[in-house]
Amino acid sequence: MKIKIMKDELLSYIQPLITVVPSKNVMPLLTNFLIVAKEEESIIDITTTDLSMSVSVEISANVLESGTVAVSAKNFTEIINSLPDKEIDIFTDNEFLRIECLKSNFNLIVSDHSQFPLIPKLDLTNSNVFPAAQIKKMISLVEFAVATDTKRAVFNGVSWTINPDKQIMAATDGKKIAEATFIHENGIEETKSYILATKTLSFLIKIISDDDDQLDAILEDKRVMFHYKNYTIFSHLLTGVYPDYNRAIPIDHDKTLVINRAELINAVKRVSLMASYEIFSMRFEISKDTLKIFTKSREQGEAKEDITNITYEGDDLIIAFNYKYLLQVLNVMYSEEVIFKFKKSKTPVLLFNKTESENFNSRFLLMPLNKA
Amino acid sequence: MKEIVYDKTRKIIHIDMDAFFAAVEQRDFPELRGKPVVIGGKPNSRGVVSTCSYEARKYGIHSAMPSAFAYRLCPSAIFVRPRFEAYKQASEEVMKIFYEYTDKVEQVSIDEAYLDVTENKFNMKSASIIAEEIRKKIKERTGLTASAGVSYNKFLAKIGSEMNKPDGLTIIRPRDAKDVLENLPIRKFHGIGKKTEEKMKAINVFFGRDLKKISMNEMIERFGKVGYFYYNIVRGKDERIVGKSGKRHSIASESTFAEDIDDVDYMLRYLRRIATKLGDNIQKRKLIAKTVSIKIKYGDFKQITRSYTSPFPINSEKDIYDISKKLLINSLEKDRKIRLLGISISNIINKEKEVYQLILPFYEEWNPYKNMLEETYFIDN
Repeated sequence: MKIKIMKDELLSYIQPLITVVPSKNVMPLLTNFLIVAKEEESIIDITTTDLSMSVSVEISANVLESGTVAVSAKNFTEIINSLPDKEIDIFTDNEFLRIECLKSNFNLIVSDHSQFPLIPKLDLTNSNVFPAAQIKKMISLVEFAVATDTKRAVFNGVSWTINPDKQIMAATDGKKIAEATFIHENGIEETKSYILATKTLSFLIKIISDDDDQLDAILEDKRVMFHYKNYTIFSHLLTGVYPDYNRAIPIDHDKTLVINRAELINAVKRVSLMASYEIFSMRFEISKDTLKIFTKSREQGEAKEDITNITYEGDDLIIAFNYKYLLQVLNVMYSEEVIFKFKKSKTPVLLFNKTESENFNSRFLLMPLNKA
Repeated sequence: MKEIVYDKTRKIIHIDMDAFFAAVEQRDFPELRGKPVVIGGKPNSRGVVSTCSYEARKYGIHSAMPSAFAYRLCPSAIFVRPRFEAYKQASEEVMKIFYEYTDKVEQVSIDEAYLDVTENKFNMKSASIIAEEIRKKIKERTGLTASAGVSYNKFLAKIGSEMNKPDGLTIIRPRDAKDVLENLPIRKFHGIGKKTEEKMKAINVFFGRDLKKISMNEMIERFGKVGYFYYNIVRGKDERIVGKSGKRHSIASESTFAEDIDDVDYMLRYLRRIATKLGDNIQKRKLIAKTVSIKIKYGDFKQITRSYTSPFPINSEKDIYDISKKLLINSLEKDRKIRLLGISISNIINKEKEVYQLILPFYEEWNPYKNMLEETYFIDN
């Protein structure tokens, strides 16, 4: 193998990849990148897998000689990262992979790549095509709500429902629900539901840029393949049925608060300085023209702040939240003003962006604390 | 949750009353003083020893031993039925003394408590002086003796109180902790029972210093959650807060059957009965629990405890029964009769007093016990 490639070019492609490399030493070979150089096509393919998810990236390079090696992903990335922004020579030299750049040179031990899991290539001609930026937006709206504390696998993933005219992503950990809906004709004939692993989604967020590129997806019953620009991602889908979270979303709210999102975030962050380390409790006292935010903790003291720039309809209400969860929701929301819908102090609270674009909307549910 | 830096500046006292029930009996009935006294079931019953005096311990009698067996060890022992009211009263007097020094008191049981005196009501700098004063006050006001351990974490304080029993005080300073822990026999690590001890001995772990050689990964692989705990403990790291431990208290109910049984229906009927009793108990007190444990003593006196900690609040007899039934069925062995069966619920919080996060009902309902058996872990006694 013999390759010439610019440092920055190579680094930009392998940096997202390193996050997929399994951290546990279950199978030492998997801590490697599989690098395949193809002379005729002038490309190199770099692949990593943790068995539940595999990613390949295809990079144009000056390939002087074809070849395949497996090298430590961590070492390889660190070496490339440390080199000056110049052309790098990479070539095999006995049992080493030699990396040279100006006066630096490294000999990296090569592993036996024959056992590296094969990543199947699927034909993209019948793939579904989605606008990548919208998919990224949906993922980033719901990802925070995925459960991390349950052994019930479905809740460790994101529910993805594709209807002929829209698609919906949702996640919940029992304390909050996040749901994003993207309305578009996507050429799918019947509604299908999938549960995606969060690691796969986090990777997609990392590589998708905000331009108009498309994301190809081939969805099968148990696995999915995505193709975006130079990247091909294979991932297992989580098995099981995502429970119907809709029945947890109440519709009989009788109190509505409209408030400036940034102002609320800032106030919550200030007041949170005095909140308890254990339950992060924060009390909201809402009346016609004022929202009073209050917290106290035995260890530290108390804090309060009033926000008068609000619109509130309904009877006065006192309700308490874990402010961390509230901030998680507010931080992913995007409109200048947000709408809260309440019923009672112990019932779920719904949050909406006040302004939404025509083809996109989202809603959030937050469970309060048992008492204020 | 709160992130706590590994802290050696706390001042923790563990106080443990000496042979508490027996000591109260000997205090109240002078004729029992200096004699082997056994509190618990009668020797001709199938009951067990609850506590015994130090005189009785010389004969090898210890708590949880069948009374009949204790009698064989020491026929001259005086068997006394417990008087819980008297013990409760003495215990309350003792607890009052603790609160004179600090509000950070965690009562572990009727005769045992942890105190965090890092900050205390007299601004006293020395925890050992506080411990001595407390022991003195206990003796003056109740006529009973207590042993105390002083250190910078709960585990070491507890080790300390056991080192100079009865009527003793041990101080384990941060600089001494390493030596104490390295030379501590595995059995003395509080919470490591016979079974875990055997497992440890099988991999040549006899003392703290041997335990230290085992990597965190291996500890977790071999012993699960408990392994992680002991990995830290043997390095002097125990950040449990006084008064805030998850297992604040437990509520339990158990019985020794009139004869050993192997009738599963009978066991289940019995479980349902005590589950109802426990369920009523916590509902009345507006408590919710997260852990259900069952205790089984087999005909050969081998005892196991199996627990399940639910991610959801447990507050009905149905929850308690369903969980304990699964735990029981999973631990039954063919041709092995059962002598004693009990349920205990722990990780209890008060629904009205405490603030907690509400969970969406559908999330809680959704198949809560499906994966239960995988989540079950063992604590042996």
